[in-house]
Amino acid sequence: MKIDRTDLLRGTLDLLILQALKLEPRHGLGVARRVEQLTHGAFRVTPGSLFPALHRLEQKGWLKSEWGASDTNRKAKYYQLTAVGRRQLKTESEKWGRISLAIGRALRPAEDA
Amino acid sequence: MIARLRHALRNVLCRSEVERELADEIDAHVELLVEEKIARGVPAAEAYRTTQLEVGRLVALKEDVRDVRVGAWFDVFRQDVRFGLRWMRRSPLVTLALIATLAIVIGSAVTVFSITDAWLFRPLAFPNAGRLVVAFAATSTHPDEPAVWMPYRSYVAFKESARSFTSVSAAAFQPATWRTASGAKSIVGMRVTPEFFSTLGTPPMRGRVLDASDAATGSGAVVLSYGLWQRGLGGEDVLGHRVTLNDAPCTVVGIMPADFDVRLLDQKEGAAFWTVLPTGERGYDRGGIGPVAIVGRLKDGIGIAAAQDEIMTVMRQNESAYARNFNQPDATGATFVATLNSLQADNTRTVRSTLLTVLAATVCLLLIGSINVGVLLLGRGLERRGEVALRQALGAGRGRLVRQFVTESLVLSLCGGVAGVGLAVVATRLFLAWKPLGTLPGNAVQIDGRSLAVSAVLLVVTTLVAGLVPAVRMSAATPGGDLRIGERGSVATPAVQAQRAMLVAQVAVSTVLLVCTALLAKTFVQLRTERLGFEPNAMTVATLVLPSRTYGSSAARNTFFEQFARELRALPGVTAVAAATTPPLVGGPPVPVNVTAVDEMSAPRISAQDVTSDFFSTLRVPLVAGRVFDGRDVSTAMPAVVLNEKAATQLFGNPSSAVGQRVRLDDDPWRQVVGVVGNVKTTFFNTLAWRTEPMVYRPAPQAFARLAPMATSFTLWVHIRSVRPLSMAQLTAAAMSVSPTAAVTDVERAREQVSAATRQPTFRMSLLLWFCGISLLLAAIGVYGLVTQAVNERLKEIAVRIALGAERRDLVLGFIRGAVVSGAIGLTIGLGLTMTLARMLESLLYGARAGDAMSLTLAAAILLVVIALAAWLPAMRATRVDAMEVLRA
Repeated sequence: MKIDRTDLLRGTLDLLILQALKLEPRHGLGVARRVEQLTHGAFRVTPGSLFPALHRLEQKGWLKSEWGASDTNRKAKYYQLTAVGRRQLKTESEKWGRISLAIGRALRPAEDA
Repeated sequence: MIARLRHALRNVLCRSEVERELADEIDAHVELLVEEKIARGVPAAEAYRTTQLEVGRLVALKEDVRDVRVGAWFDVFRQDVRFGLRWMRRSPLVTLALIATLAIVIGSAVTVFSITDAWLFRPLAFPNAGRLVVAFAATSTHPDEPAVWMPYRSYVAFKESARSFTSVSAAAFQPATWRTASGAKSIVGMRVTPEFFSTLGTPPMRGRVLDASDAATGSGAVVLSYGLWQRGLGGEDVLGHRVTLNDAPCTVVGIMPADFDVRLLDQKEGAAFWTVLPTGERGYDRGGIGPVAIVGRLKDGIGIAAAQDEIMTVMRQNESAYARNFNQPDATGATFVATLNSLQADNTRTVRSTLLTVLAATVCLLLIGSINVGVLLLGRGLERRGEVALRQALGAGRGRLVRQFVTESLVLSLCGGVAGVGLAVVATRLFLAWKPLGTLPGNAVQIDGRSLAVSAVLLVVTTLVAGLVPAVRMSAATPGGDLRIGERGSVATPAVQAQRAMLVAQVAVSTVLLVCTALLAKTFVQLRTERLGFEPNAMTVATLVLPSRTYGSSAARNTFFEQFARELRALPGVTAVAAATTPPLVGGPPVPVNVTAVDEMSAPRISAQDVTSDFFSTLRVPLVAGRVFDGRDVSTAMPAVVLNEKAATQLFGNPSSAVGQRVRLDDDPWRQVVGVVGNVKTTFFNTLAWRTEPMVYRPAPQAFARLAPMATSFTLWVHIRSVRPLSMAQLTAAAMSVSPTAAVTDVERAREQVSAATRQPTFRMSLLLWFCGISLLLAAIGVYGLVTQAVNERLKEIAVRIALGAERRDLVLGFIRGAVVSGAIGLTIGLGLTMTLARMLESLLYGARAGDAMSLTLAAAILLVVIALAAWLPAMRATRVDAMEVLRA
């Protein structure tokens, strides 16, 4: 599934990016790869949606960035969660859990029919 | 929040650094992707190619990132501004014209606002000044126009039983002579009751104010205004010092601050000093009818209307206790009524209508100016149709295009606004120096925060009017159509229609301005050409103030004047000298005139003045019947009186039957009518008209005595017929040679006094004439621009038609017809507007009515001619083109 820019999915992308950074700082490509990995390849994040999202989250104060060296010793910009970002991840994922549960419940009878 | 702010600042301030980082980040991303692919075993060239496909266009990617940045709008704004500036530089003359237009309209609006604000909107400089009110008496025929002072006993009654006020005080003018080394000067102060200062609420700057003990002892204490203290006494420490007012010694007890500016009844400047009105003087006791203005402070929550109702009732009840009272109607059925105004309204009565008229006119001008800028911007927008269409085709959103136009109009308005405020600063200074209204407000006239706030609002208005319409109309155009238009002929696009609509609006507003100006101009001409009944040319009028202490009797005053007149007649060029107790163009105080033996309270009240025997010959007032005053009318002779035609007709049916009859003025002895003279025109306070009033004249030797109770000086207006105007120095020297205490205060040519009486209408008209000129110029520019553009677009069509043998004249007429039709629509709308608006002007008109056919026709004709001319020029030029050349091009 490719992520496009509808509002619902933008929220999803933000959530996925936050989740991807939960454990350690990553650079852009790292984030993209981690999202693919987390969703078992269901989400493929293109640079066209990745970078605007990263910058938006950074400007909101949920992420912070610094320049570091990649595994191949290349200079890259690394993003990591801020305290606010971590809190946001928690509330967002709880919310998402509730929504997905509700939608899941709502759709089940339709499937039965 | 703080994070966002920090990012916003960084985005704006360190833009290049942020951009460099973005580029680095994306480059790194590309490199990492490539490395990843190579690591998977993809050949390097292939890896680069696929990565590039994957990442897409880097420019678009960066643009997307920029759009999510905090403060991204600012970036866009900066771009728009830069773009707008580039357009402005490309056609500097047009840009300059646009900025100049906006500067003039914003500048004049800010100037007029600042002046009006100081007079009408900003409260007077007293604590809680909005609660201060002043009461006068008016006649029931003109209930809103104070005509008479209140009787002192009304002050006593209000103080005792009116519940609308927290404090009530009374004040009266006190003209006085002020002795200086270079001769006596005349100043105007006030006599006030002890509560006067506490009612106004301003504490003294030095010393103390007047109080009840001053009233009881008649201590001769005087409080000086800051102005008199500075000018008259050099600002030295004068507390406790003695000064001489009206030849009587007074002790300075206090000095009021500079902004303590008290005026009553449209005085042109604040009072110079205050003394106490001693209780119990004649006219100023419980039942006294000495004239005063009643100054009060309203209780919170009490409106002026309610308070006026209350004092009317109180006054009516109080008057009914006296045998001779102000409740009875005179012969014309008019009674006296109390009128209450806010102190500020009282101080601004003469200038209010002028200021509001001019303010309204500047608003019209502002609208015309910004519409005109809109028309021109739209015109330039049309040249840019190709650009706009291209940008739209490339995916620029409509909002983005609207923003671009509004930004450009904002840049123009900002430039115009800044220049306009600069103009306003100069213009307000000029206003202060020039004093076109003959008086300045108590509040300072300045460009302050309020004026700047108003200019900001005006800026928004001009930006929106001038920018939004073109923006919406331009961006509504379909890109395909406009790209094609670039090549082919022309069609009436929405943009062209919008431009026409704006022209119609501009003409409509111009019509309002033009018609109002025409009406005011007609008023002016009527006022200036009216026959006044005397000859104001080659006549000098001097005001002479005699202190009552030295000149306490009629005989003393007559003797002084005879000596003074002898001095004046000795001056070269002087042919005749006369004196009267009222200035030219003023009727004089009305007195009841009885013709029957029984005193009637309802006797007609007729203006009376005292004149010397040469008065009528000096002013060249014609004799109608009988004789004028001469040497026979000495103080011991049979009391005589001269009537004017109007009074003679009113009292006795016709002038000739009046001669020989007897009349009784007030409670004077009977006087015999010895003659009837022609009517002399007068003015009545603020009603703008020459009036023909009934008038009675008393001979000076048998008069020159009637004084308001307690007046401390006697004022004469000396009329001198002289080929050359006399100077203040000549008159002062003549007065000094007779007496050192007499003060010559004003010297003016009678012609100038006539001009001064029509000063407000003249000012209104001349300012509006200027505005009209500007609005006509703007309308002409608008039409010219519109037609030029239409012509340029249709150049090929014109060439084809000429080649096919069309008459040039018909082509030109076609263009003119188009413009005139738009103009005529605007004119019709404008005339409709004027019909409703001009009614508000009625009170400013004389000899012209709001629906005056001549003014309407004149305004319409001028506008249509200007429009036709402005259309004719470019059309004419276009049809002169060489058809073949245009077609070949």
